[in-house]
Amino acid sequence: MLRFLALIGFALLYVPLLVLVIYSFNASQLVSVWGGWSFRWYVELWQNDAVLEAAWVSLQVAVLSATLGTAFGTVIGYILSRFGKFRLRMLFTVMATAPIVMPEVVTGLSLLLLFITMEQMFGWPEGRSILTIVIAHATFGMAFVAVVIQARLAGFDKSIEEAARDLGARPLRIFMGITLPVIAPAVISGWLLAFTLSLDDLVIASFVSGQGSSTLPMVIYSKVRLGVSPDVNALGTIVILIVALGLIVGTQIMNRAEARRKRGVE
Amino acid sequence: MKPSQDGPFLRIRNVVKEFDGVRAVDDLSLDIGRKELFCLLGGSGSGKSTLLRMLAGFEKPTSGSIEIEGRDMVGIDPADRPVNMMFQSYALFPHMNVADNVAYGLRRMGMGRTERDARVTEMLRLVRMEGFAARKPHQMSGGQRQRVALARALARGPKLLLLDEPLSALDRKLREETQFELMDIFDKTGTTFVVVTHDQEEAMTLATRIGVMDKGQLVQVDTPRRIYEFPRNKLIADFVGNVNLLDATVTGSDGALVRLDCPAMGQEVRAACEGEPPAIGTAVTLAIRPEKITLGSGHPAVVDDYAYRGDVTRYRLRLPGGGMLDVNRPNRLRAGEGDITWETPVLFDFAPEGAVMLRD
Repeated sequence: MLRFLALIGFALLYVPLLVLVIYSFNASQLVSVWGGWSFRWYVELWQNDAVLEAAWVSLQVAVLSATLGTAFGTVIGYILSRFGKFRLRMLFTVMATAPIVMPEVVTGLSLLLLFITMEQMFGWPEGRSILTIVIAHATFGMAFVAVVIQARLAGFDKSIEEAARDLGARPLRIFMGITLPVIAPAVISGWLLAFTLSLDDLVIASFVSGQGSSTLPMVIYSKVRLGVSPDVNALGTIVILIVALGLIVGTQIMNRAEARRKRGVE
Repeated sequence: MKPSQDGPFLRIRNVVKEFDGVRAVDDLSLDIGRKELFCLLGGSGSGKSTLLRMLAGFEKPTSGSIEIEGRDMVGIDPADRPVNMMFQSYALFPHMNVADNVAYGLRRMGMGRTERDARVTEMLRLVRMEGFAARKPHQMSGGQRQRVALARALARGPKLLLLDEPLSALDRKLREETQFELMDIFDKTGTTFVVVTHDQEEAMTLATRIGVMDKGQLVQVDTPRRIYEFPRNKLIADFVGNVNLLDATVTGSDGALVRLDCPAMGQEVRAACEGEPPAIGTAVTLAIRPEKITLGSGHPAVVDDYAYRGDVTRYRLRLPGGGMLDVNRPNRLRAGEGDITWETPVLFDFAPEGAVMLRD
């Protein structure tokens, strides 16, 4: 019975995706009529400059924001798990993870207001662009990475950091030379998580993007609003592929690191 | 400040360490000499590990001072102390091979490559791990990791080496072998060792002196022999080895011995006594180790239970005055099923010098 329920759950998740993937190979002009197998929508996509440009924007945004978010998130996760009881620690923990549960509309709107205010006060950032999307995505990417890193450090043998200190290393060197290499798998999977989240995001990006900086989800959404055309299915399939790849690689890296750690500790 | 050469090597004065108002180390003072192998022995929560971590510099004393060769260590970062530590978990860097682990501390000193390589080789030879330089920690056994951890801690040539439960992660056979190796390495390096352990056998084998800790204080500091033969109180007698503890009252003295009335034995006995014997009528404890009692003649008792242990058989005797007495009898001949069994009446005896009177 439980297995059956689980199967229904999985079906709800993945049957729609499967349908989308199948229809992306539909030869017919009409979305709901099956006209045999074809790659024509993929070819059409390849010739659609607006889509290619948006894909390029999304890729840049995802790479940059994931990198920025991982850098900050790693440091935040480290500090939250290491510097034991400092004042307001609880507050900082909640604050670091709040963007995960914050409605995206709120996050997007507040960031937009911030950017506008900053532009009026300091003249930076000039308008909305890739830069503003990167900053916005980095903030929530950072929150996810901080959680991943904190979880990893919870099971971390602190004595190896103490050993490094005992052997004459300073805090920054300990972090760069000992802690970071040991938690590297968690950092990489955190990066992949932030990368896929950025690639997926529509709401926040819609608020903080400007002219010429539409991301792929934004283009897809606007296309769909004008009526579903079959090339959107092809586009969707490609996005699914990239996200799935990111998830699989990330999980794989974490699992392998976990296995190695277990072997090491016995 | 000029380092004083005539004072003790390590001087701990009135050290207190509080965690959230609870005293883990309570006004502790101790001097340790150069080239000593000092064991801090105590149960969990006795404060021994906290003391060790203060010597390493990972914890700062709430008050009191710690001096090495006359130089105050409080406030000096672990990285700058002439002290190194071998961790209980060994704490080897998992992403570095053995050679890089050992070289880590040398790199931080800014030692040149040639000199560093030579030092690493020397250290690995010392712990007999020459062939393992390229191995990663997860490719080695527990015993091998322990040696590498020791080599890494000794590489910088510390004046003081701290060892936190160095042998606890090894199985029994390996532990016994490693004890002797550790003593050998101690002799070769001429470094002062401070070892923390909860294993009294380990402490007895390794130490030149033992400090028994309880509730954040040192209860007795002495040679292993004196700790075992002349424990200061019941707690130490009970913690180090097996012991029979019987209530008694002082009835007089007899030269260096003290005469005791021991109701459990049903008669007057004599025992050794440290210092002046207490006044007649004082309630004390009579302590006798099981191996110091012989069977065959003397006082009567009945066998309540026994356990064959191979090298010895442990008999639990029921005394005429109530109470139990454990006796170890070496199995000098290959023992068949013994003539002594449950409810056998036996006679037991002990030399007065083999028993000791404890004041509390």
